[in-house]
Amino acid sequence: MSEPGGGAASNLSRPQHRDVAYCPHCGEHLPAESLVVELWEADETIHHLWCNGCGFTCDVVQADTATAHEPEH
Amino acid sequence: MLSQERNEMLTRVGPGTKNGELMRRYWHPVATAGDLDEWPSKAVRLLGEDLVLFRDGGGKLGLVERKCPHRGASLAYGVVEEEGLRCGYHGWLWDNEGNCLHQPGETDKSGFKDRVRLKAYKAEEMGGLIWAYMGPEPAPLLPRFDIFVRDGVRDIGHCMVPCNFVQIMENSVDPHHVEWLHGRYFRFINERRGLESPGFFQQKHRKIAFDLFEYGIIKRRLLEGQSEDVEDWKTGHPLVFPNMLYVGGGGLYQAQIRVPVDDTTTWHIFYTVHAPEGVDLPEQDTIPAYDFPFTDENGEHIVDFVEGQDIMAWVTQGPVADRTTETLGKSDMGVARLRRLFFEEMDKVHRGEDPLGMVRDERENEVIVLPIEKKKMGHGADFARDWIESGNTRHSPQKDLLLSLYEEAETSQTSETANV
Repeated sequence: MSEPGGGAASNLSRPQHRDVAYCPHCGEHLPAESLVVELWEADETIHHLWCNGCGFTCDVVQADTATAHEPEH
Repeated sequence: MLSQERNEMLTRVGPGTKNGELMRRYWHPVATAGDLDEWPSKAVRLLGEDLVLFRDGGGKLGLVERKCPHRGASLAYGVVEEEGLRCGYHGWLWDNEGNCLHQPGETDKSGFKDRVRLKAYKAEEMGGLIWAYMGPEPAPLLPRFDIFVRDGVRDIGHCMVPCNFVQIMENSVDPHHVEWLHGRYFRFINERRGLESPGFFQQKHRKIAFDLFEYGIIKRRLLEGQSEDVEDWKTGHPLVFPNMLYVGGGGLYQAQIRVPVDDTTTWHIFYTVHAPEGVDLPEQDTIPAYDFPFTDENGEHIVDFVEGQDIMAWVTQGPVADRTTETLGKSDMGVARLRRLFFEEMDKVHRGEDPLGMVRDERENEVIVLPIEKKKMGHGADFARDWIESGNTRHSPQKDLLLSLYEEAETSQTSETANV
């Protein structure tokens, strides 16, 4: 992830904005012509991403804690 | 949230910008046909370029750069002649393809006039609007979407909105705003004035969806109490990429066209065709076009009508919305989808491909039928009547005639039901 964007500083409840810099599919650095839109849902930060290098689209979800389910046993 | 770099890319429309190049692949209205009735030329601005629109003595439309290449005087003050537009300053004559036909102060044999050209763009008339194409050749066909060529009573409300066109388009993939801006907020305004508010705007959304189709994005909504076989969900209505929303219901059809004049100004056209079923539609000699107010004498937004509420929301986001400080939620997925579409289509243009929705086949272009709900939010002609009363059409010089058409439609429907 790249350096924090400056514009977010005015919103105190906002975590530091960290744009996605690399495509999770082709692994290349995302050129400016790719789209990265940040969305929030509950305590998750989602980066809706379209790589104009390989055409891949996905949501990258920032996860601070690794969680797993526990099947009934 | 977007980075500043991407926000600039998304919103800048001048020559040489990425989105400017994309927007130049599409036809845009540049005037109403009636604009040239009183005077045959008009100064216009589109995609950050100052231009002059004119209709020459032979009836041909011309759209050329505004400054005369000779000494830079405005051709908007030119003389319209049989073959073109003559600069008022020294009389250089230009045709609608940008050729210089006459230089009165120069000798004919010098060949000078063949060495100068005026930037000229294509202009065509359709449905009471004059459309311009500013992109490379070969130009796509001017798309004959059904609303512009169908029968009905036409009405054009318009205004110049002081903000970038993209934030207006984002509003068109944001169905939730209807429930709040035109529902709760409208009710709040009207309650304080002792007035009723249209009930259908206050209905709660259960689900929204966005599907790509060959001309843009289909927007669907499912409201509380509706089943999934309603038209709002099954059919939906389209955002015609890149800058038109098509809405309607109950015999009313409306294209909301957001013309990028420049980065911070949008000419907003509400092009409506009224064609309720079961009514003999009157002939129209001229199509009324009226500029409607959205601020009062103190410069405050007028928010007691639907479009005034929208304009308040768009303009107060700033001349160009700062997307580096926004906080999007999952309900803004349509906004993210539209942005992605802009970036994908900019990329296609950059690669030398046609972007979405180019029409190059004459047969396909006879009439392009767009999907639209007939029964909007569960309502018919009453929806159309409320739309007229609570929208910018309240300023139309033919408002009473339009309302009477829907009253007649309702009477006709009632008597048909009684006869069944």
